[in-house]
Amino acid sequence: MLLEQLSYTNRWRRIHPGAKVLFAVCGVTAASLSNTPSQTLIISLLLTATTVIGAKIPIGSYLKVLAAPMLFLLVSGLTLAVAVEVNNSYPWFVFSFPEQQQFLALKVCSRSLGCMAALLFLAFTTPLNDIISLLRKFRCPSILTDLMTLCFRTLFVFTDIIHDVSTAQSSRLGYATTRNAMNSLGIMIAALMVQVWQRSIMLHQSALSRANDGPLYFLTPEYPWARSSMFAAATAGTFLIILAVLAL
Amino acid sequence: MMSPITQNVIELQQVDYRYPDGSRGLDGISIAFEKGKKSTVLGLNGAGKTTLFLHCNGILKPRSGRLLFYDTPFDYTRKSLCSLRSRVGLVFQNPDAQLFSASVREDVSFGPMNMGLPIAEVRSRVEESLKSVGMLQFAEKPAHSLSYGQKKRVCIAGVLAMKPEILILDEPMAGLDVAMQQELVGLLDELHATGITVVIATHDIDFAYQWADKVNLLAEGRCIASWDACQLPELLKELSDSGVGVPKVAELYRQLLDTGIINQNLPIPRSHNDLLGLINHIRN
Repeated sequence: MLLEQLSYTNRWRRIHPGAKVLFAVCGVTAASLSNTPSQTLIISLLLTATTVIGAKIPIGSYLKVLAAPMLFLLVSGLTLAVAVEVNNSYPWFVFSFPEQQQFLALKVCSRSLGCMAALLFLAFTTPLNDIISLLRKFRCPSILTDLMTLCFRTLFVFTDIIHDVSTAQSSRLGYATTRNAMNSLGIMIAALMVQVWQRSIMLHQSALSRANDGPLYFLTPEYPWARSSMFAAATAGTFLIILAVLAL
Repeated sequence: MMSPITQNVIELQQVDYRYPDGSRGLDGISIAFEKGKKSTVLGLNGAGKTTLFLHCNGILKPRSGRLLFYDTPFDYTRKSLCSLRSRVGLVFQNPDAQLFSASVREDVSFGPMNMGLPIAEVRSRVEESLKSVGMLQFAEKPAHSLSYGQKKRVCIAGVLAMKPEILILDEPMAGLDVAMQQELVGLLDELHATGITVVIATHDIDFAYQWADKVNLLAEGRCIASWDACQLPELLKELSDSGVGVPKVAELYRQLLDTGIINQNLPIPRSHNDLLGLINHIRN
């Protein structure tokens, strides 16, 4: 929700989404092409700086969003770095950190970090709506874009329903004990299933009532200075890629 | 001089509908909505108001009986359906069920895009209809960030952008505060003044009496009465028996008539203000 909110309020909201996607793709390419972890880290830092300073995303919010994927990265990094030796006698297991594996882990982790910074740039600066309409423009199959549109919209409808149901349950001591909580949760899931069913009928009827009989079409937003922002994004992206392939 | 011929935009004749689970939807209903009139459909919960409206838009198809659009039997071909749905605007009760695009402007553009209008036309219609409901400044906002009343207005804009000839609203006042209700009535009156036929489903007999030209009473899937709203003071017993209640203004007016305080030659009051005016008039 935080991400969603910022994507609508950041400084680069009105920049053409194509430019932002281009820059993010360049970022991912640069992070994947880079040879040494230090190079990748520099690229990640540049991408983060672009997001925080350029698009004026508060650093606190940025770190908060970054925290969850970082946790996964840390766990997978550790598993890559650790070597386990299994013995027949005591000590049964010996853990070690061979240098080669350390390097590999560092390389994989820094690359993932770089890719993540690039994608976070996109996520923080571009609302999903814009990305979907861009996909439509690129003639992405309508079944995919329609699904994305509906999922995205229903996500918020269901968050509201979950909020309402759980509030109603709590107000009648639904979550007072662990046993109650399990019971309430079960009821809520069942209720949600029924809601999904009913909502899908309602959505279908409402689409029909507005003369729809096939793929969903919407007006695509217009953006000023599309050409110049594309040019700026291409230049910055190329710079990142050059930085990556240049041997330091 | 031409005689005033009334024409029905939509008419249902002896329409029967059963839901797939066998429950009664409509039970031989016959009802008509006159062109250029403000009609209300009154009925208790489960009387079949929503089912009726889904028929007016061709979403549900009668099991028996027929739907007439401008006095022509409707044939349910794909082309006719598309035309019917472009000309009959339906605003659902729950705005969350109607808004499915995430941004306001996109959602409002949905109907006109489906009609296959040129992009420039769609754009101008979207701006125009957002402006008419006072939501233009929210055009870029995601639907989920709006309040209930705002969502409702976006839903209306989404239908207005299709420039329907008849606008059908399912309980539009539900969940709106008094100020917003008044705003909505103002908007509907404006639309009506431009020649759009407006039909509203409501529980609120006071509102129906004050606002409508025609009052249709629904019960158990049938239309049990269609009256001119100005007849209601004569029909208090029938209204009370049907369970929808009686309009307070009409009831008071009736009492004043019966006790001889006012005479029948004065105009029939429709709203609280009319009634106050009437009392002031006889006092002076």
